Amino acid sequence: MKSLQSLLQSLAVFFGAAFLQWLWSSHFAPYGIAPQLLLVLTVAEASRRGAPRAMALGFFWGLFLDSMSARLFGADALALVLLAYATGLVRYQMDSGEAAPQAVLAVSASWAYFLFLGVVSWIFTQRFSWVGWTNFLVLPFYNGILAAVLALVRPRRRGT
Amino acid sequence: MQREAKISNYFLAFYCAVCLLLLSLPLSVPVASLKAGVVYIMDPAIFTGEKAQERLAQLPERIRGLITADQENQVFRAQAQESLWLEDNLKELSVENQRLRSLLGLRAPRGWSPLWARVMERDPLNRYHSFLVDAGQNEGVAVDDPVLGPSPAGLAVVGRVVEVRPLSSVVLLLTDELSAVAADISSGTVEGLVQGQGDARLLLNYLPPGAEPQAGETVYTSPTSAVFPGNIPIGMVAKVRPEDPFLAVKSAEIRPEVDAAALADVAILIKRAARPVLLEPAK
Repeated sequence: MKSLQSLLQSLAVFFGAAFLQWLWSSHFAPYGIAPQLLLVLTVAEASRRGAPRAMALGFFWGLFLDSMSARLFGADALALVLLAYATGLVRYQMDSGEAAPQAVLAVSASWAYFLFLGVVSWIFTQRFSWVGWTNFLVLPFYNGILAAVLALVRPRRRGT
Repeated sequence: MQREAKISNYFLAFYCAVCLLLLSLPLSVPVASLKAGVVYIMDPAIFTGEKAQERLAQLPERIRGLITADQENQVFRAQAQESLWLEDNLKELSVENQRLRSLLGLRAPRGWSPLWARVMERDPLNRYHSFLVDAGQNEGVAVDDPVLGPSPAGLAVVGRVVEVRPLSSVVLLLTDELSAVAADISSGTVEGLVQGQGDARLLLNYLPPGAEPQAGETVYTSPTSAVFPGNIPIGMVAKVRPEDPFLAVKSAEIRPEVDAAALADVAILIKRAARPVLLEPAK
């Protein structure tokens, strides 16, 4: 019963976040810039609940992002899985439930994500896919702010 | 913690393997179709324009057909809306054409030029008081110009201009209580004064005691009128009022020839200027 509830909760989180990301990036993106909600949530999920669940969510969110973009199919999924795994490794070394560490994690994860996508693109298509300086310099901080806000809004889990 | 790390490692290996498999496979037809379908549902705008044609060309025939059919459907819907709008417009133009045709056959009295104007605004409190027309000083309209309206019998009296602005004029209707015009009955021998009553009826007053107006007789403007040219229909005698033994005059109710409250176009009569006479220079 508990596992079913958890599964339903995960599905709700998955579809709700995917819808919000689409809504935000297509309707509320001044100058074409919208935060990467799915990336921020993957990192937040990994730092709060551990890597396995975040990796699963990140994988499917990544596939969703891949299906929405013209990039290599699977690159976003791989990037989010790796970010979830890396966050899971460092979650015990910091108080990742607080707003400031969440923001730092989100900013670092965003830069890592952009560079990783470029490298993957270079490996598979021999062309480094660069997101542009505006996205590279602005988006991570936008993501950081969003992560901090989410950390403040979201109730803390006991024992974390 | 150890258990979580172990599970994470298994998960990592599994997801990486799947992702690498997806990455290393060429973008096969089903994946491209799926992507096109999802992207088209989420954001159809990017499937318009030159780039979209390139994108569509790479898709399988059936998916391309679906997307183009949806786009064509949207275009046809817009065209259907437009044709509905055009149909409405056509109907409106047809009605207007019919109205203008009926006006075309009307002739103004000799010595006057008709200036056709549209009724713009009516007095909201009393539709038989006055209205505003879209012709004014710039078109040569002056105060006291007679205003006529189309009726089955030709042009009939509606009122007179009482206020002139550059682009519009105020017309005081004959049905207003302040309006009056000298009139005679179709026999041409009996003259009276038609006065407005503030409603749809007029009153033909001050008829001499010997006059015998009959219901259905037409009432015309009198040639003695200071404002209106003579012999223009005003209305028909609807009811002769009983004679008052204390009054030396008779009166009758008149039904106006034109319902001024429902008029859309009126003719303002402008007196034709006398042709200038060119005098020969004295030798």
